[in-house]
Amino acid sequence: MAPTNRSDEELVARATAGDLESFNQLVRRWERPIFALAYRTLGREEDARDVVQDAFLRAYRGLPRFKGEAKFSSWLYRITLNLCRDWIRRERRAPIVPTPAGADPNAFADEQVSPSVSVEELVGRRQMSDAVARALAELPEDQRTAILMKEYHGLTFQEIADTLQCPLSTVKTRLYQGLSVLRRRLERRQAEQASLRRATWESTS
Amino acid sequence: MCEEREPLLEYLYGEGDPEHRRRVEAHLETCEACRDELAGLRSVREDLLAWAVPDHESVWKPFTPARPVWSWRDVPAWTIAAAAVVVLALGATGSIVANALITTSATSATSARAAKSADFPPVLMTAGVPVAPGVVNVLKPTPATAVTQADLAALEQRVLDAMSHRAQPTPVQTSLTQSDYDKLLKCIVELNKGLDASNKRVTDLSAIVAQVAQNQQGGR
Repeated sequence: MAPTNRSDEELVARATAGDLESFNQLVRRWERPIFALAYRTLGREEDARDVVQDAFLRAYRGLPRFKGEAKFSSWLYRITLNLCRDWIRRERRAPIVPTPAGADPNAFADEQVSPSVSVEELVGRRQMSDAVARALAELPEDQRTAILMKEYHGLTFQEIADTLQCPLSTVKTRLYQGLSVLRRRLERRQAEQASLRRATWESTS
Repeated sequence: MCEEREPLLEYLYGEGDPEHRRRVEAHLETCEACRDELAGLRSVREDLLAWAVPDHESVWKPFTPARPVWSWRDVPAWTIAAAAVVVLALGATGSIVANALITTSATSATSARAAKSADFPPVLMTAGVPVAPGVVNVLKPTPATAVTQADLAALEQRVLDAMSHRAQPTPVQTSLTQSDYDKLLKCIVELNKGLDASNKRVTDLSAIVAQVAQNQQGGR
């Protein structure tokens, strides 16, 4: 097995020359982030798995054409996003919100969490997770993509611009607009939740 | 700066040089709106962390190296050229030997037939011509008009017989070199010469025997 400390560029060069194990290593390194991007873009695990598989197959076939002008990861993200976009157009619908509202507390019983975390806290986290997913799904695609790449994948503005092949200023504008919309929606939701809790407490006391 | 959000965004994500950060921090000390904006953006970022990705097993079946498929393209060109030269050389050698064998057999075909005739009753060699019993007609052997397959087979048999008589205990060889072929050729030529001389003596002797028989018949 090849050493694991080789850079992406080195592994790409070796894989392009026919070393399959180097490509396997690239997959192992990037599968989780690519799956996360596909999952958060599409909202359904099965679809994300299909996209990940397809993305790596396309990347392998496209290796001879990859000239290394951008980072391998940026290139891989672009392939994945294009596949997600195709999937959304094919399905003709917006991304799915992963979990329906009003999560069942029993569903958290098997989660691996610290014993100090209460069920109420778990429910709160899950509800927040659902709220974030829903708010992101309602954003325009370009704003959502910019936020996903910045927040969950830690790309720089320039790397996002390279991946999306758009100007740097466009990336910042999309990101700022998307975050502003999310902020308003999440603040409104939190206000509604607080109001609901207050009403529940008042009715039971 | 309040009109342009880019500097605030870069500050939020820690991008931009130290000088840029100092300028933003100086502005935040005096601008409450920008402080509120920054706090709101940080809050959104914390909320975003709540969206976790489910654990999943790898969807990738790793590539395994395919068994190498042999191809002529894998063989260096010089190796193919060398093999071609060897094949041509062997072919040429075989051709020379075959020509020599055919020439030798053609020149000795008549004597070979004569030698063979000594082994069989003369009546068989007259090809249907009635011959009186007891009369040997070996003085008119069938002429050799061309080399036939039977001639070559007969020659081969004679060579094999001669070699088995002359065989010396030599090491077994699995292949013949050019030198071996030359030696074999010389051996065959010498053998044919000896056979020709022997045939001539047999013919002469047959003629004498026939003459003696004729004289005896005439005497009766």
